[in-house]
Order: sequence, then C-alpha cells, then structure tokens
Amino acid sequence: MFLRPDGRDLRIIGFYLGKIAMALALMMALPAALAVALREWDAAIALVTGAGIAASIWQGAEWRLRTRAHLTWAHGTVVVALAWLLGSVLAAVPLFLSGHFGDFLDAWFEAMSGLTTSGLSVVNDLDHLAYSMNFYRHLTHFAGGQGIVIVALSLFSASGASIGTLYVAEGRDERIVPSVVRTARFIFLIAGAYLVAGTVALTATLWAAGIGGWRGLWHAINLFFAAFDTGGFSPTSSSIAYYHSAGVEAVLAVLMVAGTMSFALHYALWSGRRSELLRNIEVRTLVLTLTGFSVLAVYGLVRAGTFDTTGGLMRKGLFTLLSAHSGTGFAVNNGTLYVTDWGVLAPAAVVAVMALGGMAGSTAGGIKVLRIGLTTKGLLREVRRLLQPESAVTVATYHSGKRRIITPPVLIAATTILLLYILTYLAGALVALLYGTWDVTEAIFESVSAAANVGLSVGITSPTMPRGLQLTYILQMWLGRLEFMAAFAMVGYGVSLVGSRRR
Amino acid sequence: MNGAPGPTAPWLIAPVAFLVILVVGLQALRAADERPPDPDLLVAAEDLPLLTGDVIRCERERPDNEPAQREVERIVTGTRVSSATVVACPQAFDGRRVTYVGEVVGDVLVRDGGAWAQVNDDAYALAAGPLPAHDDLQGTNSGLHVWLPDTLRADLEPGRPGRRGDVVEVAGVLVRADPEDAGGMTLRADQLRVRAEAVDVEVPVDPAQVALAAVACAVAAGIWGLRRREQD
Repeated sequence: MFLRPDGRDLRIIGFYLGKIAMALALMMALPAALAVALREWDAAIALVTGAGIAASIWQGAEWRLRTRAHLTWAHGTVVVALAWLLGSVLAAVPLFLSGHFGDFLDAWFEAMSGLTTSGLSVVNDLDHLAYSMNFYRHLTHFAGGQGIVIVALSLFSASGASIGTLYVAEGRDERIVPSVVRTARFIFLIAGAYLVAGTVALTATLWAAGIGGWRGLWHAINLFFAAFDTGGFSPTSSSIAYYHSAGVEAVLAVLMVAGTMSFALHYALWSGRRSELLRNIEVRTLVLTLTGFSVLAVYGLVRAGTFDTTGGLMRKGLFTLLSAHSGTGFAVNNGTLYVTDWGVLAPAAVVAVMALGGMAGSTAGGIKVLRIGLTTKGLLREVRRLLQPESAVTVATYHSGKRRIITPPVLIAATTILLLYILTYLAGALVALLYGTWDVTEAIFESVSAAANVGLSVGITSPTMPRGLQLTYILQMWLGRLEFMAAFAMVGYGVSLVGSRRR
Repeated sequence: MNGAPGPTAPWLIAPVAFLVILVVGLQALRAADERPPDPDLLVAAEDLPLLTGDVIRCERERPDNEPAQREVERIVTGTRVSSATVVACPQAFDGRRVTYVGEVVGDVLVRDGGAWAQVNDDAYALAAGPLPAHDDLQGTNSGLHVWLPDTLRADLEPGRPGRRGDVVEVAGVLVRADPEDAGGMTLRADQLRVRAEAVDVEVPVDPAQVALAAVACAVAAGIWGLRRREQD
C-alpha cells in the first residue's frame, strides 16, 4: 500500500526547499561582492537579482510554510530530487541575465551542469565573461559537489536528527561519523584543508607559468573548485591547454584524485588508517581500471600516430584518462581532436572510464568503482560456486572501512544501478543519433559524459545544439547525480499525489 | 501523513505558476534590451582571404582517408587558415606554413624565451566584439595556441572582460603535436603584425534589470520584516 501525500506533506517539502533557496542566495552573494569590488556592475546586478529572487523564496517559505513536522524518508527523497531541479533553475537566473546565454534553457543547462559537477558548457564567448560571473560558474561546482542539500540543512537546521534521509537520498551511501551534521562538517573540513593547500599550490604553479598577480589567484581558486569537486568548468575556453604547464597539470591531477576519493576514505586517512588505501575495494578497482585503460589509451594513441613522445602520451593521453575517470572533465586539447586526431581506441578508453566513474560517496559521477568491484566479485563468486561441490558454502567479501560480506541485496542494488546507468548512456546516445548530425562514436561519447557528470565533449554540446538534446542531457545530468532512486521516488510520489487527488 | 489532509492543488499550482512567470518574465526582460554590435569592432582582413572550400573533417584509422588527401591538395603554403579548419583535419596542416588572424585573449604567458598566447578567430574576436556589450550571440570561442619568440611578443594587450584585445596577424609553422608543449597543437610564429589595437568596450547596465534587482531584494526584505513583526 502506498502512502497518499496531501497538502501537509507538500508544505513540509516546500519548507525545506526554501532552505535550499537560502543556500543559493548566499552562494550568489559571494560573487556579487566580487563584482562590486571589480566594478562589474552588469554582473553585480544579475547576481543580486538572482540572490534577491532566491532570498524571497526562502523568506516566503519561512513565513508561510514553517513547520515542526517530522521529515520522513519520502519527504527527504522528494526534497533532494526537487532541490536539484529548483536549485538549478534559480542558479540559472544570474547566468541568463549575464547576456552570455541565448535563452533560459541554455542558462539552466549551464547551472545544472555546474551544480551536478558535470562541466559541459554552452556559454557564449567565455573568454570575455565577467570575472565575477565566471567565478560564480565555478562556485556552483563547489556548492553542488559538497552537496547543496546537506550543506543547507546541516548548517542551518537546529537538529540533524530529521535530515539523515536527505544525506542518503543525495547519493552519499553512508554516514562517515554517526551524526549527519558532524559528517557534513567533516566534509567541509576536508574541503577547507584542500582549498587552502590546493589554491596555494595552484597559485604558485600559475605564477611560474606566467599568470602573475591577482589573476593567478583567481585562476587558482576557480581551478580548485572544478578539480576537487570533479566539475570540469574552466576559466577559459581552451580549458587546461590554456596554461601549457606541467606543474599546473600535476597539481590538478592530485586534486582530481582527491576529489574522486570517497569522503569515508578521506576520513580513514585523516584518522591515520593508511592501510585502508591498500585494502579498500574502491581503491583497488580504481587503480586496476585506470591502469588497464591507460595502457589501452596509450597503445591506441601510439598506433594511430597521434603522439610519439612520452610527454605527449603522459600530458595529453594519461591526463585525459585521469580527468575522465575521476569525473572531472578537464581537457588538454580541443574536443574535436578526439574524433579527428585520436584514432578509435583511445577515445573508446576515455568513454569506458567516464562510464565507470569514481568512488561512491565522492563528488564523482558514473557507475562508481564500488559497484564495478562488487559486481566483479559477485560474478567471480558465482563462477567459484559452479566449480565447487554443491555442499560448499561460497562467501565473497570486500573491504570498505571494514570487512563486509557481499549479500544478495547488496549485489542486486549494485547491478541494478549499473544497469540503469548503461541504459541512460544508451538512451542519450540514441536521442543524439535521432538528429542525424553525429555518428555513433560522438553520440555515445557525449551521452556518457553527460550522464556520468564528466564534462568532456567532442563538440556536440554547444549553444547551437538541438533543444531536445539539450533537455535530454539536462535530464541525464540530474539522474546521474541522484543515482536514479531519488528521481524515481519523486515520480512515484507525484503519481501517488495525483492518485490521492482523484479519489 | 497523519491528521487531517490539507488541500494539495494550491501547493502544486503556485510554485509551477511562479516558475513559469519567472522564466517568461526574464526572457521578456532580456528581449527588450536590444544591443546591436559595434560596427567599428569589425576586423575585415580582406587582403588575407581564408582558405576556400568547406571545412573537411579527417579521422585517423578510418578506411576512407580521402578527405585528408583532398585537404592536403587545396592548401597553398602561407594561406590564411581558420582554427575550425585546422582542428577538423590537423594531419593535413602538420608542418605547413600558414597565416592566421585573431584576437589575443586572456594572458600572454611569458617564459622560456618567448610566450604562449591564445589567439581566437571567432565572431567575438573579428566581427561583433565581446559579449555582453551586444546581443549577437555566435556560439563558443574558438582559437589556436600560438608560440611567440621574444622578438615578437612586445606589449600585446590581450582581450578580457570588457576589452577586445589586440587583433594580430601571425605567420608561422603549424605543429600538430608540438614536443615543446607535450603534444599540444601550436602555431609557432615567426612574423606578427597587430592589425587592430585593443579597445575597451562599454558594458551597459540595463535599467530594467536594476529595477528587478531592487524589487526582488525589497520583497525578500519585506517578508523578513513581516515575519519579525509577527514574531514580536
């Protein structure tokens, strides 16, 4: 029997969505202050308008919807699913008013891409975009990557007791420490530590690369947000190729790896449990897949004659593989070159690692290496079981914080999500193929990049792309970020709502 | 879900209606603010016609390599190329001498006896000028990375927010996978001429947007005030 939601439930959902609007208003206020400091008045007005609208929604929700009612699992799931939709619409307001987007759909695409840490971009004339507005684009990565829902609710709720559901619904598998609020604060502690260290290291390497003064710092902060939150936006149109710097790429590689690591693993390392690095199933799977596909990509690039120097293979080939596997999406060459100059094997390896994604409980997207590891172990267990006497009991285990048994529900959950991702990748590619403009390689590349929240592009994503495909990618980015279940639950909630109204 | 059920229709209709009004209103606001491009920013470069013919896309390891061969045949040494043509068939241009016209944007990265510059040849560089000074949106930026030896790089003004940078004409050899840039595609210039000086562009503030910002902030402050009064 399904629950029948009524007006009281919608009031609770609306009240918590108001808190999301508050977080967005605060997020817009920071670049607005930068715009005023830099005398970028048009950008300042756009950001203040966005902040004002978000603040009005927040105040309206506090005024008319305030409630002490308990937040149930159903409420929490719907709040999370709607938060990414409503949040991205509100986040799109300043972008649209900046004058760099053709219509509101373009701005919504950019905002969804930013908040879901995808990094696909449809901005016109990025190289002349106001500093403050460009900073705002990158800030959406940080807000989305650190989990805007958990941020808003853990920092501004009186109690974390009723919001645990939001944490899980948002695609974070488990609490790192018993309290959700403490977990969120630990996430911010980690992010803060990396922010300081990463920004200092990037600023130093950027200064050495030739971008001096405050511009070096500005690039560094933006790049940090995009790297650590596995986002992929970059301050300039040529992404990381702009810097021509091995030092910058090295620091970004470290930040991308840190970003794709689960916060549980960060916590283990923070607590001095370094052995977790060697035993953790996700680390092992990630190392194996990254190594295997890197070898494949290097072989492909050499076979195609794309690069014949170690520098080219490392700084173009391997950096791109790491960028794709971590879910970041930084590019070190023009996206068209993946089609025109990379041959066939290396782009296939890039697509494969994009599809696999990073670790669960991180800011990375994709299927996640945890599910790949679990599915592989489950498959091996089945093979072992077939080869052993019928009376033998076969148990498969994995290490993630502690030794755990792979139970049938765990395996079913992992394979179900894996299957849903593959279907989403294929569906997006099919929609692109319907337009008859791109071949199957390009269609799959771009679809996987969108659904796995990566952001590498072969050029399909642009301000002139078909509207239907743009909506498809928005849907894919949203589903990929939520890992499907919260979105499906929201649809189910809506169906129940309609059903209850008909009765 | 306990207790008396409340009505659902207002809770569903109100937010949807608000979002529709918001999006339609913002679209109308932008549409009303017409900003034609400044014709003075056009850099014609008619004395340097672009490589003729359609952009031909080549792909490695494909059975039919004919497009790349066709591309090679039509290149005249020293001819002016666009960045779109080059990235569509990089093998055809590898090691060729070309001429290229575009706007220096971002930063001129001075180091190692020269400097790296990103030179864009898109519509914002050569025709309409930077956004958002006008509303003639022409897509994303496109350009090439240019290596300038110390003798060429003197005092270039790159384009940035609110400024169209120096538009330069560079001649040099195009290297598809430059070992000096770990395999990056580079135009290694040996000649440079500034065709148009950098120019600041005015980015006007739309009074209607100012009014909207004021109203939005006033509404938020007003509701906050009402809540405070009710609490008191």
